[in-house]
Amino acid sequence: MHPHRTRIVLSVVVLFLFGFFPAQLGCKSGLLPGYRALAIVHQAGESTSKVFGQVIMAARDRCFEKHKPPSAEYTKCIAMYKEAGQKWVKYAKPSINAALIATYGALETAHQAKKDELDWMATLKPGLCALVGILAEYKDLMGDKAAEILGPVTSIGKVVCQ
Amino acid sequence: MNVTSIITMCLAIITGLSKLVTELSKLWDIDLEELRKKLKEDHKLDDDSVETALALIAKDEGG
Repeated sequence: MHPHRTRIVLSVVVLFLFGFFPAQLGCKSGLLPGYRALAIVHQAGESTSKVFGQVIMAARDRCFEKHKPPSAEYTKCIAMYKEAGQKWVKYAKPSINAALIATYGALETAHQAKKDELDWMATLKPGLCALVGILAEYKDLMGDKAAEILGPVTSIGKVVCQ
Repeated sequence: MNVTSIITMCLAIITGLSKLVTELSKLWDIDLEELRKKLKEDHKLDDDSVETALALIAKDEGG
């Protein structure tokens, strides 16, 4: 065996192991964190909407029993919950939806073009921050359920939405 | 050990690693494809609990 040939053969093997092998795994991993983040924000958004709805509805029932509407007392009683709901419907939900749609579109375009890198956080950030913002603003109103919803998005949100 | 046996050994290693890579890629793809399928069907906020509650409040206030 010629030592020179052996070195060439071994070099080819080493190049394969340290080049091709990680490249195969690497190209698969690029977009997956983006899809996962999108799924987390979507899930957290849906949960927030349901909890907000339940909290507002429960408050409405309490206020309805105490102060028969239409009355100034009823309006005063429900005001804080109504304001929270309106902020959700007018600002937070459209921002989150726009971000989810844009991020999904960008990820799919990148996936179909076989790209393995995408700055998905740039499109997801406005929605994520809108969600974190409204949850932080109304965490007292939402009670214990806020912490459950905030859990998955807090860690990302704290870093991204400074 | 001659060149032929080194090449045979290397080919066996490469074949084994290629199979491993293929299997790992399949596992990774299942995860990715499942997520893509799920998100294709539903990636927007559809829940309208808040809108329903607000409509009821508006009705209350309107008499």
